[in-house]
Amino acid sequence: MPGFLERVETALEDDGLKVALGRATERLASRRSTALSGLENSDLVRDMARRAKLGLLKDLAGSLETFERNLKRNGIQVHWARDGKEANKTVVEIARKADCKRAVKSKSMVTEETHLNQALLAAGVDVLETDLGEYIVQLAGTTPSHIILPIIHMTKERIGRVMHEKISVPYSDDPEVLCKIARAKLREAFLSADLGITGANFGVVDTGAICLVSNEGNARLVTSLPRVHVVCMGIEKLVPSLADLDLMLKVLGRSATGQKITTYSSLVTGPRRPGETEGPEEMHVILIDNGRSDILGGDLAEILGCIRCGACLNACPVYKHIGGHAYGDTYPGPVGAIVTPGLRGVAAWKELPDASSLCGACKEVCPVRLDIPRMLLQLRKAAVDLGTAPWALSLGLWGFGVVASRPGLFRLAARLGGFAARLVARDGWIDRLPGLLGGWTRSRDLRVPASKTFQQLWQERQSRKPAPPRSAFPPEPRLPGGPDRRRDHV
Amino acid sequence: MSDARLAILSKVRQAQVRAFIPDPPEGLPRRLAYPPMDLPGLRARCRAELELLGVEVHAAESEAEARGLVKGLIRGKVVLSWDADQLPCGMAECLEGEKVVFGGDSREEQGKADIGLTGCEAALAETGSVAMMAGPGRPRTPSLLPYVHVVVIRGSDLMLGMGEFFDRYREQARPPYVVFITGPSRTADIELSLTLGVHGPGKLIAILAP
Repeated sequence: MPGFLERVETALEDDGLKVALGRATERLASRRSTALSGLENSDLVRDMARRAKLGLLKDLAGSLETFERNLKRNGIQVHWARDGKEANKTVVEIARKADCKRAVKSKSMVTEETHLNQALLAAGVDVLETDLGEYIVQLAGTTPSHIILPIIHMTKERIGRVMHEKISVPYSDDPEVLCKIARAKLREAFLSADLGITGANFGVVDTGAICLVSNEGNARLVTSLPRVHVVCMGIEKLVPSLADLDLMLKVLGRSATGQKITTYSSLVTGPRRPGETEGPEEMHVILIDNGRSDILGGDLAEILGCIRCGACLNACPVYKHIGGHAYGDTYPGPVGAIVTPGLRGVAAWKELPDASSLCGACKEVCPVRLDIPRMLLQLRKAAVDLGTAPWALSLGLWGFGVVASRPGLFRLAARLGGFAARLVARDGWIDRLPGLLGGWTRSRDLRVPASKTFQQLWQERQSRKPAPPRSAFPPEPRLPGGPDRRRDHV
Repeated sequence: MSDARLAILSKVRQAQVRAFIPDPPEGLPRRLAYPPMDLPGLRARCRAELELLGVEVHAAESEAEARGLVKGLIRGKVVLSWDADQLPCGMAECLEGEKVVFGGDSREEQGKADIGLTGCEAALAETGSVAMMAGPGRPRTPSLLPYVHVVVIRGSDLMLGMGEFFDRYREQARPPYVVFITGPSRTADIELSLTLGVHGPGKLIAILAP
C-alpha cells in the first residue's frame, strides 16, 4: 500500500471525489443537526447514552460473561476469537460442519477488518455482500470509504459502468434502475443461500439479543432465510439493557442519516422456534477481540464506546477533503484515526492522528460525546515517545524553543526571517524553501510575511499617540451608594 | 476455542483496571421518562409520523370499515399473509376468494406474492414504527418479501415509544425475534438519492383500525 502522504495526494488530485464528498457530507451533516434538534431532551439522551456505553466498559469482562450466558440461554452458540485469523477460521469451520456453500452477508465492519470474504472464498464458500453499497464495492473490487455510505466516493455513472461490466446488465446511471437490478439479483441469492453472516450494531447484555439496523431490509433477509446464521461482533459492541438500546437507537439513526430511527431495527434472539416457518436452524455469535483489549488498557479506552454512526466523518474538514481511502484501513475519519493505530499499533500508523486540525467538530457531533481530540493528542504524544520523529524535526523544535524563550533573540529572528522570506518569495507567495525547511513547503504554500512585524507596528502606533488612555479597559461603574469596590482591594 | 475465551476474558479483566474511562456526567435520571398520552393523541401523532415517512395511511371508524379497506387493497392480487387466526379485526374474511399463500408454503411461492398482510404487536407513535414479533402463524416474510406490505394497527396497539414496548417485551420468558419497521425499505447509497424498495417492501400501507 502507498504511504499516507501519497494516498492523500491521490485523493486530493481526484476532482470528482472532492465534489462527491463535499455534497454528501454537507447534506448528511445538516440532516443530522435538524434531526437532533427535533429530539426532545437530546442533550440528556446523549449524556445517558454516553453513561451506558462508558459504564459498561468499566467491567467489560463481567458484561461479556453475562452476555454469553444469556445468549446460550436463548439457544445461541457462542465462540471467541483472539484475532481476525481465529475469527475467520471459526466462520469457515461453522460453514464446513453445516455443509454451507453459499453465504449472504449484511454489512459488517469487523469482517472488513478481518478480511472474512477472502477466507471464505479460499475455503470454497461463495459469499455475496447484500447491502447495496457493499454489493457494488464487492463488484468493483474496492473497499468501502465511509462507515455508513460505502460508495460515497463513486458517481452514479461509475456505479452504472461497474454493474454493466461485472454482471452484464444494460448500462444505466439512474439510481432507481440500478436499485431494481440489484434487488432482483440479490433476491435470487437470498432464496438460495444457506449461510447468513451479519455484524452486530449492539449486543444487549441482559436479554442475550443481537440488535441489527438497516434501511434496506437486507439484514432481515440474511437473518431470516438461510438455515445458518453467524454473527461476527467486536467484544465492545454491548449495551447493558433494552432501556439503553432505546437510547442508542434514538441517537444512532439521527446522527447517521438524520432519520428518527433506522427503517428496520431487529432484535435477533436465537434460532427458529417450534411452530415458526423461518429463521435459522442454528445461530452462532463470534466475540472478536482483534486488538480491542489492547485499546481498553490505556488512554484510548473511551473510543470503544463508538457506535459507528459516521457523524464525525461528515463533520471533519480533513475527511471532507481526502475521503475514506486515504486513511488506509477499515475505519476512516476521526474515529479511524484513533481506532486504526489503537488496533494495529501506533508505530505503523503514526501519521493518522496528524490528519486532523483538532477543531473539535467531531467531539461536538458525537452522539456519545467521545473526546476524540484528546485521544488524537494522546496518540501524537505516543508517536513522539516512540522516538519516530525525524531528527531534523526534533532539532528544529529545540532550536525554536531556544529562540522563542529569549525576547531579544526572537525579535531579531523575526526580522531576519522576514527579510529572508521576502528574498525567496515570488508573487507574494513562498512555494519553495531551501534545505530542511523544504519539507514544510513540499505540501504547503506560504504567504510572504508583512514588511513590518506586529511588534514594530504596535510601537509605531504607540509613539504616534502622545497621550494614550491609561487603561485599555473602561472604568468600572460604581455601585449606587456603595463603596468603590476597586479601591477596597488596594 | 475455550482457550480463546479464557485468554480474552483475562486480558480484558487486566485491561479494564488500567483503562482511562472518563466519568459520565452526574445527576442523570435512571431512565428516560415517557409522558402519558391519550388514545386520540397517540393516533394523531402516529398518523402524522407515518405520513412523514411516505406511508399510505387509511383510518377506519369501525372494524368492518377496516376490513372493507383491506378487501379493496388485496382484490385480485396474490397475498402472503399471517395465518388467518392471527389476523386482527376479523381480517380472515378478507382472504376468502383471494389467492393466498402462508408462511408454511414454499419460499418460491411466498416470493411470488404481490402483497403482504399482517397485524402488529405494537405501533410506536413517537416514530411511526410498527413492532412485529415473530411466532407461530406470524411469519416475518409477509412484511419482507412482497413489494407491498399492508399492516393493520388497532387502537390497543398504540403506545408512545420503544421504552414502553420493551417494558412489556422484557416479561417474555424467551424473548422472540422482533423488528421495528419504520416506513418502506430505502437506500441513499447512490449519490444520496433516495430510492425505495431495495430489499424490503417499497410501499407500506397502514390501516388505522379502532
